[in-house]
Amino acid sequence: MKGFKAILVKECRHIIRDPKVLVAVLLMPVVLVLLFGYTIKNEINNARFAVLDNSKSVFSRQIINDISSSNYFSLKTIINDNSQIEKAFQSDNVRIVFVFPENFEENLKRNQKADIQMIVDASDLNVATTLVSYAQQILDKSIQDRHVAVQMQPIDVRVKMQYNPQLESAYMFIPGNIALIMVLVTTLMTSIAISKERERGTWRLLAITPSNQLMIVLGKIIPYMCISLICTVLVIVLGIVIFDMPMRGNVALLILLCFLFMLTACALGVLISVLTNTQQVAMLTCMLGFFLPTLLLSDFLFPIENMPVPLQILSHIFPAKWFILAMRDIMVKGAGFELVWLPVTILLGMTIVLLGLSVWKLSKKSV
Amino acid sequence: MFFIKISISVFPSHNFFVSLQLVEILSKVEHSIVVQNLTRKFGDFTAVDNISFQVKRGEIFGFLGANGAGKTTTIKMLCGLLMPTSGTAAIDGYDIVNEPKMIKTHIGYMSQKFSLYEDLTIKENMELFGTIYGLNRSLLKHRMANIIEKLNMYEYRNTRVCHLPLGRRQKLAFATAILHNPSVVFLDEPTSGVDPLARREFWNMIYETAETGTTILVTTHYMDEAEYCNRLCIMVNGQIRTIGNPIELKEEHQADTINDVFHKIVNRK
Repeated sequence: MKGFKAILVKECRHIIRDPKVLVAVLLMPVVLVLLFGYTIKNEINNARFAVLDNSKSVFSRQIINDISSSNYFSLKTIINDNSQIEKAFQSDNVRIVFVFPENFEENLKRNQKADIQMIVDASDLNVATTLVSYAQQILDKSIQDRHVAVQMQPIDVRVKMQYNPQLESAYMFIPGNIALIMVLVTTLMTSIAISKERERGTWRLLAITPSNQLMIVLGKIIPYMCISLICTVLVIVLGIVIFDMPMRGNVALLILLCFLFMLTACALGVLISVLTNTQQVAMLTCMLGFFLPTLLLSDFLFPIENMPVPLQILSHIFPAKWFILAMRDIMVKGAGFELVWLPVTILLGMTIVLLGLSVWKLSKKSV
Repeated sequence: MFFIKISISVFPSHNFFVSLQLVEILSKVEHSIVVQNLTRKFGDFTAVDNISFQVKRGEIFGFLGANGAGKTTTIKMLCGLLMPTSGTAAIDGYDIVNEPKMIKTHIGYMSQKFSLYEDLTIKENMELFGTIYGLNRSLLKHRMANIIEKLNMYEYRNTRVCHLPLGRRQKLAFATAILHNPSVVFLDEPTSGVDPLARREFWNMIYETAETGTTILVTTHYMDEAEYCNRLCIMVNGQIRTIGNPIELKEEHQADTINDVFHKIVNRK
């Protein structure tokens, strides 16, 4: 136990000796949250659009008015014939062009059915699909409101975006950011801290002392655990304060979940440091093996449902996916344990396996 | 002795048995390192090949050999970091296979390559290792003060180790390695890269420590250093080729220096 405390003190001293790293680590959550919050937004405001109104009718003008008065779209230009559509995309940078056919109003009145063509810039697929769904909603509403007599469709489908009516992307990126930070701070820093000692040979110095290896490792990783918990709290608070992330679920459950994921990340870090011999290899393994998958395969930036099946299956083995799933359910849906038991159990299982594996490998590793 | 005298008078028949046991205990205590037929294989490669030797308490015992001769592997086994494939060894009477934990509290270890944390200060390094070895606060404080005074480093006590010159650093590392009063200290190439004057001072420290009854096992590349040892052995390909005190060895191999002895042994097939 004495050895454990001495190593804990030593590790804290290492961290304080190099305050640049500490400052960087504590600033990272702030930067990440602001970056993701303001740049990668799934909701789109003021998308430029153009209109080609061949019908030049009252109806079409009203609809155009409704579109441009919404927050999502702003009217860039009105074009007069088909040949200008391409130009609108290229030089005016519009995202979407609405084309009203010549007989739009007549069709609508006579057949209760009319077509509007939407030409969308699909070079950014996410933006394109989001814009189409916004436009659809506005058009439906506009026609319903102004022409009660007109039934667009025999079945009136109304969409309600449950839990996230404003389609706020904060709901997506806050849990994702926590996962990223855990991987960076806990996994990366613990694996570096341990492999650094191996690389320099000081590990043997500690191994020769009477304290056992497990205590040494524990003493080394606990400071990083504390830092990553501070970062996690920072991200959650920033998310709630700046981006209106809701906190509908049980706070204790949330903290427990974060703690569990931190243990997973920690066990991973120790395992990586045992399996690799140098800091650089450990760092590369963390970044390529875990940081990237956490970014790409965890339902954080890209929906897993849209991925090819092999990738979908692969995504199951990364702990971040389960963590993000459970975090979202707790924070946004207000889910209790009865709803998140599956991801939590999977995470717990992963943690136990990883911890067992790293302790076993550690005991076999020569010093 | 008092107990034995009484036992002689009361149980004369036990007299012989008791004294035999005593001899055994005494010999154990007298030899702080006893190595018997120690072997370590890594797959097909035999790193340490059936070596045996004994080192007396307070002796400075040298390990000479080229890189890869098996010196480090032997030291690792004696420190309880590596299990032998066969054979046994005892440090201070504790078996390296069955009682590695006991061994760890009785040994110190120092190597030139890595021995202190460079980003910690002198005091912090000593505090770290002192605490790990379970010294209590007042004892640790006392010993730290002694060492710092003895090494004339009072003005550097809060200096980070990386700012110290190599010679000082290595003396400090040795002082830290014997902070907990180990009965055996392993020095793994302690002086490589250090200037001759600093090396001389370092050896003075080794002599002083040995005089207090601490056994010292030192590996080295420097042949002149080998002359300073009380006894030494030369390892080639995992085997001990010769063992003895430097003067005997020189006579035996008709050589002027240990360097010549070493070359004669290494080149002999």
